[in-house]
Amino acid sequence: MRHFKLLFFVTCMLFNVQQVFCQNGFLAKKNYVEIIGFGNIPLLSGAFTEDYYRIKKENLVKDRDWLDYGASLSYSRVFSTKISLGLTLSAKKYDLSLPSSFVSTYYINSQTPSTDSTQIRWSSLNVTNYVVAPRFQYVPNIGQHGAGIAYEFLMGINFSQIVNKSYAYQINESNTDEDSWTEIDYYNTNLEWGKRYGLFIQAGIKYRIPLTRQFILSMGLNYTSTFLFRPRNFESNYDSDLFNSSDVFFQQQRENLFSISGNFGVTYFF
Amino acid sequence: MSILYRFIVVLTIFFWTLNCGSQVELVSTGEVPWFFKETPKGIFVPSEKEWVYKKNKLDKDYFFNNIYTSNMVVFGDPCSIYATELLKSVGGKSNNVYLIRSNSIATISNSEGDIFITTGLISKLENEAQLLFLLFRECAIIDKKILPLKVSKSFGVNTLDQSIKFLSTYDFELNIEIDRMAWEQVRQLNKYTLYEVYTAFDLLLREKLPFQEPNFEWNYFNSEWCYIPEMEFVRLTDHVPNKFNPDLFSPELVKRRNQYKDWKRPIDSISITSHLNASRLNDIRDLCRFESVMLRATEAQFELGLFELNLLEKQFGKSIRTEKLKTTLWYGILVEATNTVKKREYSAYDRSDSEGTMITKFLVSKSKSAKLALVLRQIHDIYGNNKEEPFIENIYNEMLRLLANSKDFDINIFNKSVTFLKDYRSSLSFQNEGINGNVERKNIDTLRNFHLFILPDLVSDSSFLKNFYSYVNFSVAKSDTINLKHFYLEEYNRKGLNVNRMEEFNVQNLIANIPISDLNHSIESIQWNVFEYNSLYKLSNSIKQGYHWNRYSNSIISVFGNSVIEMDKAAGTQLILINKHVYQPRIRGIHFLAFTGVMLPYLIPEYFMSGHKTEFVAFYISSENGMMYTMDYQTNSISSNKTALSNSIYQSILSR
Repeated sequence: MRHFKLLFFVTCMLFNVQQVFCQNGFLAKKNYVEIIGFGNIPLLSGAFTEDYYRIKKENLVKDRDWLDYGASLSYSRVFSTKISLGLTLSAKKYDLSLPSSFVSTYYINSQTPSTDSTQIRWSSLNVTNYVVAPRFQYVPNIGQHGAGIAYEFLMGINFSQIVNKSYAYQINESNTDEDSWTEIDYYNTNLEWGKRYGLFIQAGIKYRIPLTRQFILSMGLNYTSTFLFRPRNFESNYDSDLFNSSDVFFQQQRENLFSISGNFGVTYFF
Repeated sequence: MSILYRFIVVLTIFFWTLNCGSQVELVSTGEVPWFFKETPKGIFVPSEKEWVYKKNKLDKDYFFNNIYTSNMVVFGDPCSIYATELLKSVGGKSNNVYLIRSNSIATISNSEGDIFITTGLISKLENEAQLLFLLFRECAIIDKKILPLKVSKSFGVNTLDQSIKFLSTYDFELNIEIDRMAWEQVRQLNKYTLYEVYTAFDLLLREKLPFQEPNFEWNYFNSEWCYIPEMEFVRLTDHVPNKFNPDLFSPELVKRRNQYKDWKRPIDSISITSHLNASRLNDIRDLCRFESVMLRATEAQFELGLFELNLLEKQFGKSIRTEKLKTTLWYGILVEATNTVKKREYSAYDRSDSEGTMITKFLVSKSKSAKLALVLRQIHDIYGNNKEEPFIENIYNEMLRLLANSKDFDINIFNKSVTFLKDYRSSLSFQNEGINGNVERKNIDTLRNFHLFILPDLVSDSSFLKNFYSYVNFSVAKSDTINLKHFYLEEYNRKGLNVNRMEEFNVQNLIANIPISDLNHSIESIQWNVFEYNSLYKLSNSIKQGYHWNRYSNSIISVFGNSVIEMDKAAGTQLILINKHVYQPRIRGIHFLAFTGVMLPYLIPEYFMSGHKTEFVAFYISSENGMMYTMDYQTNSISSNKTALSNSIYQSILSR
């Protein structure tokens, strides 16, 4: 507690001193809000190469996970010619593909098991990541606040939520005949998908071009890692063979581990 | 009447010779040459890391652009007139010759056949034949349309000397051929001995050396209050001195010289021939020798500058000009000692045991405190004799400010030496004689601590101490009125030079964006004439000084600070802005990595904007005392965006 007081006062002093002498924002404006849209092709997580189905004309067709996308809103305050601090809220949508076949094992007698594999197509699960993260932005020598290159670093908390809705599926019990898929049906997971918490770390580079005195075009790249914490126990699942919630979690963890996304948006200085 | 007439003629000649001698400064006169009118008005900014992404290989045009915009070319001066006349009357060629203020020894020529010679060349000239040979050499290059070797864009530091070096670098075989052509041409003239022509190669080899190298006098620092024992210098001299041998550093040039070694004759047979007025050659040489000291002051070669200045002082005596140069040089040593940002690289010459390096070696061997005390002694002595001179006064005040706030300089330690010295003097009973080299001083350990004994008059002077302490935590008052001057270079888009955009970037347009309500400002337009050109040279020189002294990291007193303000007659702080677009957009193979996402922030501006990377320089010259206070040097990775540039200007004004 002793150290907390010291830390608190030092922080307050630093911030105050900086603010008194600070005339370093864009055209002496010290605050800025940034609205950014971002997206990435999930190549690094491997989701791009996995089977991914979507509904088309009462049928599930094979596709690829072309784009994970999201948007962020952040507020920052300029503290020196090089540094600004702020807070970012962001949301990102992506899809999870699910297993394409399941194997049922049954016993003819007690010694000889027999297996029967059934092919299955799922429309992919929709997941949303919400992030709250403090943001540190550094302007190198070859830039200035509001113009040119800036580096940013974010570290915060990630909440991952699977959207609970009816997902479409089709089954094919014949291993050979590709045409004998059942008609589309909807499967309500009936699960209360819990929030998955995780540590969110992002480094990024931004390139800004001023359009007017207030509005500035921003574009750049984010290098994002999210480490989802494994829950203490997974929720009970009736269809554990078919739809294993721990499998879903690992899939989710893999997809979030590392991604490079491009971003584009507008910064407003005031 | 005839007596009066003769008297007037004698008087005129007398004053003319005075003017033609050392007292004339090297300034441009007459009409501005064509090449300045064709290049965009701008100022070349020397930089440590070259910030150029124009082409893969940099060509002649690029380096000539550097030379023109450096404003270091001199026209209509005695040197270029002399060289042009020499080439015309003796050589029979009609090329125009111009002079460049640079200590490198080179001749270069542009595509239109104009020849440029350097002040370094003239300052080390021994005879007329050397100059003519080098001019003929350049004429041969023009006739044969030989291009200098192309340079990779990552050539290192981007300075004027570097540009001159690249423009005068040719293939070895071609050099041999050009030498032969020039040699034959001079030989056919039958006007000079071939030994004189042969010495032109020796001249080229002397680039790194001072213009003369007599023995250094060990009592150089000694004056009324300053005594440095000879042992200090004895300690520095090796019993087998390793003199600087330029032959070792330019093997190619030595090979070229050896082609004509048959013409090397013993020194007795030198006969200096001159077909123009011989005293004119001496005059222009002296002119360039003063310029050499000036360049050494600008390029942070302070010790060598002091050595050369000493030679000039012996020849012409002390004058305001030499005193100003000396103050600048000592001030440079002070800035270097108090400002730890820049680390000087000593050249091969500085590391040798040649006579010109004695001051360097002496100062390097001293502690920081000793160095600062010596600076105080020297500048104080000069100031004592020239109190009316504002430039010297400014430097004196700035010196006090730097010393008062320096951790390495404590004025109190000198008090002890005063009491000691008083006792010592009374014991020897020579209070009124002062200290000089002849006095026996066996009992004082001045070998290491000489500096403790060189400030007794100052530390016992209460008015000096009061003045000194007033500079502790001294801050400079800000002026409300700001005069803006803006220079820009090229502005590119994907198709090439963008002329329309360049017009957009004038100061009126730029400050229209700035919310200046609390600052008055007046904008000065730039006229293109000789007067303007000479003031541009002074600005360029200030920037060059900023680069060489501390890479723009700290404020310094510009050598021409006062003159710039006097010339412009402007009230308020002068804010000079230089904006330079140093990039021609070009999609490269590497940009296709953009599709994987890595190069996206680089590709988008490349493709949609007119490229990125600009250089922005801002510095202020106070109208009150002509000091250059702050120097902003920014390199922005953004295209010449009006709003971004306004932001830079605004921040510069606020951080003034």
